[in-house]
Amino acid sequence: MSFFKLIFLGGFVLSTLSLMAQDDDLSKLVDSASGPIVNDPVIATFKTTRLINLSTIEQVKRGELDFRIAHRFGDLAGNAGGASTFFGFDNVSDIRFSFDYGIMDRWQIGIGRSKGAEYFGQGQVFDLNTKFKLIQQRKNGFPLAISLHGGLTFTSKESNHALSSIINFDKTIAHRFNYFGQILLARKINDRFSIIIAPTIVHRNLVFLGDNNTHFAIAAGARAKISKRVAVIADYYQVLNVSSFQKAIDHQMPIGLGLEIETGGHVFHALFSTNTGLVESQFLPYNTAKFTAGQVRLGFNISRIFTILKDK
Amino acid sequence: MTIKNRSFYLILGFFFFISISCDGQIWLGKNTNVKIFSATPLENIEAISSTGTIAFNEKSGKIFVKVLIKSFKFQRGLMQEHFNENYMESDTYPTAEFDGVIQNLPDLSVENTHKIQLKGTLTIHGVKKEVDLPATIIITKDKIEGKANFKIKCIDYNIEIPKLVIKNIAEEIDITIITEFKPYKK
Repeated sequence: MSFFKLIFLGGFVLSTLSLMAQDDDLSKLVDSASGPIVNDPVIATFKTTRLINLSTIEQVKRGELDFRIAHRFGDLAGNAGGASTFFGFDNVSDIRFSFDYGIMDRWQIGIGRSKGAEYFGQGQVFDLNTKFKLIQQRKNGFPLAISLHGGLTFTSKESNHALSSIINFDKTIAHRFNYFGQILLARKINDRFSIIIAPTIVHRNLVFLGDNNTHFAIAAGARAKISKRVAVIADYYQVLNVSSFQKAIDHQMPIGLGLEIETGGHVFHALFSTNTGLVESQFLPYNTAKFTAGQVRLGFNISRIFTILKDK
Repeated sequence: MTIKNRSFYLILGFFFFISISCDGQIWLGKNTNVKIFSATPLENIEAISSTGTIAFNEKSGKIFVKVLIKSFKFQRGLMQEHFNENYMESDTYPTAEFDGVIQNLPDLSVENTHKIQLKGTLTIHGVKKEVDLPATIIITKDKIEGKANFKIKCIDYNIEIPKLVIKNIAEEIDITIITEFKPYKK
């Protein structure tokens, strides 16, 4: 009887094992037939094309148009802020609106117009910019996303004929132009946290005596998701070759800190920044707003995506 | 002793039968088309994956379906990003799977359109749910096709739709699966 039981039990165990193996085989078969997940591209490193001052490696997708409005209020505190200006709401430091269009998933072009921060009278700025994705971060591949970003600005401001003026464009129209370029290096560290570092160059054709035409800087930024649709964003620029002119005007590094809220096709940034200007050739060389003097401001960025061309 | 011998062979034969029945022909559907469709008065959203895989066993009726979430292509790139990032969280839950049994698998040598019923576990967005899905097997002279069309509720699989876009995304998503089966040779 015990022998009979043994056979029965053994057979039962074997048959269930073979049934389990069968299940496994089917899912294994599907896995091997569909092939392994290789070179999975890492997406959504950042939510939108810009943090506060720093551009991200994200681009407008092919056929889509990103309409952005960026606004910076006046000083929150300090001499120009406080209760009398309702903590800066009465003043506008800078406003920029822009259109960025995705020609390819890897390549976007953009045009923008800003009031300008009026550093030494400089303002009324058109800008053209472009971004190109060189390398995509991949899950089991290259650990970084690398993009190139660059552009130029042109001021339509009326020339000031004073010889020492930074907005005296009498000599040549070239003095109305400034340029900038960046290499954007980003990594999505996990599904909640991403960082970016950007070696940057800004070149201005017309500068004050004792200032550098070309500035090198390094920017760093980060985004940390605190929920599915809300993230904390921050960025910082460090100028590497501070000129004697900048030392004389007590130049300050631009800092930004904000909250990013995403709703469908909109991305909204509510933020604080020290710098008043919105384009690289303005806020990088000329910012004098000092965090410790209360010269920090509220601001917001709004991005709305429109679909121009649909894939079929 | 003779009784024991007889039952021994009976049981041996029984297990032999089971092991044979488990060893049926496996049919494989590669490059399966999976279409998801959301219809609201404001907007129709459609995405297609053409890299799903289905395998089923002709004898046991067991069936396994798998599709990679990142393989869905949308007409709009931003939608595709939102689908992966906000709704399906495809980095955490990279696949959708069905593991089940075909309830009334027909004789595959009979040329006809057979209605079948699939019973098993559907896993989407990391949530497992017992489901009963209708499907058809279309057997013609030169091929065997499988089709299925059913709806799933986003809320059943913990896929949250924020209030702001609730008018743009349907609460029920229509899913259509089409594949062609080929006999799998080991």
